[in-house]
Amino acid sequence: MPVVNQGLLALHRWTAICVAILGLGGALGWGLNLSWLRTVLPGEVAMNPLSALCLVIAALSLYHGSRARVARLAGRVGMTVVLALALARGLEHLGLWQLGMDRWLFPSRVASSGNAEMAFTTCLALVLFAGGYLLLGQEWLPPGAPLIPFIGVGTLGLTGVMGHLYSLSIVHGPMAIHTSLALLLLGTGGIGLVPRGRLLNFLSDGPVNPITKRLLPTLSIVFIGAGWLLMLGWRRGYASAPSSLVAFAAPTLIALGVLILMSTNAWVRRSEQRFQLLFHTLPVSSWVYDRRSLRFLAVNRCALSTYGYTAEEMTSMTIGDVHPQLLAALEEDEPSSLSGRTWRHRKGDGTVIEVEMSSHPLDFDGHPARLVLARDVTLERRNALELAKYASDLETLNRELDAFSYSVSHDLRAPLRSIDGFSQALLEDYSDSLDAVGKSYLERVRAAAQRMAALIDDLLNLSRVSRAALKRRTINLCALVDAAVTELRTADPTREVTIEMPPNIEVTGDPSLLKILITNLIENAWKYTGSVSPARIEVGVIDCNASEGQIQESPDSPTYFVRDNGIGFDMVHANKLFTPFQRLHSSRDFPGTGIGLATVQRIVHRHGGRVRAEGKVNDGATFFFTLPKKGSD
Amino acid sequence: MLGKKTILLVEDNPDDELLTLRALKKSKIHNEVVVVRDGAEALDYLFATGSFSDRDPTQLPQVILLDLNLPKVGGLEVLERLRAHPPTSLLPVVILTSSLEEIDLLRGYQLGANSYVRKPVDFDQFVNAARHLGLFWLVLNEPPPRV
Repeated sequence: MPVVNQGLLALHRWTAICVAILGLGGALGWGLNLSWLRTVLPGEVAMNPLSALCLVIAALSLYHGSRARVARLAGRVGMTVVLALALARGLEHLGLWQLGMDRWLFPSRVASSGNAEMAFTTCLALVLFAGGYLLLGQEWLPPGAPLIPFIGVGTLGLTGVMGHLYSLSIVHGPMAIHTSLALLLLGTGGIGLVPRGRLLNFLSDGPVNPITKRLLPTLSIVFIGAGWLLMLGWRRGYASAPSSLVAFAAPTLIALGVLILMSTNAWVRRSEQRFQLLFHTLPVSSWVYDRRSLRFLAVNRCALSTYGYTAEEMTSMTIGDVHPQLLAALEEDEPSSLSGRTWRHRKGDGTVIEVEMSSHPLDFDGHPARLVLARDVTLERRNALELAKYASDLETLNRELDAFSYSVSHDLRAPLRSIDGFSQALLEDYSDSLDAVGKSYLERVRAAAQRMAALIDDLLNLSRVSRAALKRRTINLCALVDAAVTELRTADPTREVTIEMPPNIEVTGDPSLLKILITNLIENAWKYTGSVSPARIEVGVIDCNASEGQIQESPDSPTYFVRDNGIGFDMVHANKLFTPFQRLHSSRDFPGTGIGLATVQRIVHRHGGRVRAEGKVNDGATFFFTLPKKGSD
Repeated sequence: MLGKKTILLVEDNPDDELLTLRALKKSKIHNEVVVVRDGAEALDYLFATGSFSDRDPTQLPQVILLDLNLPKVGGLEVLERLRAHPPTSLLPVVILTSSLEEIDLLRGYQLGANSYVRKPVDFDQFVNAARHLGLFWLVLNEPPPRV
């Protein structure tokens, strides 16, 4: 569907309505035998009933011209009928045949009224209009082609109207005044139907339209009015034909000049206002300076507030006052030497700011000048520098942390080995000199050393989880669960735990991190179902749109869960679960370091996902987590 | 070559040295254990240089138990130099260390360690590990041919 703007849409509707009124008026004149409706003015030629019919059909087609397919099809059928009628009557005019078409409708009234034939120009205009209409939207034609017949129709109509206006029967011939007017309107409406009807674009909004909108109607009135007056004067014998011509030319020329000047001035003023507004509201310092004197010619508000001057102060300064360093660059007169780097500018209070500039030569009221845009990047620069410093600090810190963890891993364990090993040696080699209490103390020393070793391992794991680079792959979560369960079963073959899970849960993530994640969750579930029979661990996926999943994620990120029927926990403490060293159960009942779930959370976060827990005392716990495919690292 | 299967223990921590020896003894491994206390000494012993210059360099241990965190020359560097030296290039080396850092594991295997064992804190486990190591490297495993 070609683009037809709103102004043009309305145009063909309104003209169609007017044409319909005119055509119906003519037809009614015949039907009701009202001669003023047939001729408008007494003694003038009348609108032929067939013309009236053709006009009404044309008006209907025009009205629906840009409507849906059915209406357009009806329009085409109507216009084909009009084309046939007008063509037949035209050929009758040329003497090809005698069909008596003028008297097809209301024959007796037409016969008695005399001057009521369907004029040849009417036939021609209607043929042109019907032809143009039928050519609309034909793909083998350039889209603007139907403009030509429509302009023709309008011209024929206007000629008729002018003939009547100036009472020149030789001009209008046997075409009735309302027929002429209707044809003028038809032509105009037809132009409105043409897609991209450039001729009538002034009806839409645009910079030149104030001129054309005002000029065209005013000039039409001036020309036609002046012509009419002079014609009247010449008829009454006040002036000769040549002097009338001169009298016509002079005032119309003056009127034309005045109108053009007024319109362009108004337009220039408006345009100037617009650009002033743009210039002053620009959130970037901007000014124009004289390239010879280096004086500021215009300075926008942003520049005044940035540099801390009043408009008077600034326009009495040269750019050297703001930026001495600039002068050297200007001597090269190379815009490229100004753009693409930062400059140090001095503000009114003496402080220095950094700016990025772009500059364009222009002619300013006859001065060779330059438009400069200077963006204050002081803060930006400072932030960038600070950020870079933070980044490098962070990197150093990370390296130190790496070294620290390494040392912890290695050096902190060695004394523990000694504590444990020599306690054991004491127990073995000196058991005779130790009583039961002494031995139990040594056992406690060993247990403590081993517990601390477990703590160190868990802490290291936690820090490794944060530091390791993330390598995403597609893996089966269930295989990880299987491995974890197998290990637990080997360590504790007496436990009977049912594992429920689908055969395959495909996820994307770092294999070694996900292994730690699943191992931690399964070990937890295994541990806390120790007192329950039958123990059950369930692993699965839930659709995130289902009511159960409260984690709001995009649909491509399902929620996975590990559920057990163990001793559960009180939801009041749910927020403590993922904090390192926070435990909800005593280590006497359930051994552990309190770092496992913190590690789980960190792994999920590193994958850009979220984790949460649901539980009830003595009624199991469920851990939900997501692993978005493209998460933040 | 003589039939005595010795073990070379490279360990700087005297406690760990004592514990390792005790664990080996506890596991009924009565082979001679030579202890050196840093990387440089280990290389001197193996290449028969420095304070070991009067040693017969063809007498090589059955297996080396190598700690990683060593003064002077680190464990990984010892391994690297061993592998670059043809007589010791195939010598079985077991890394015995506290570290479980991925980078150590990776470098250790890359440089041609034959096995990597973490020293457990629990002495019972340590004894267990020592027994397995002794059984495997001194009894089950066939050493590479001498070159």
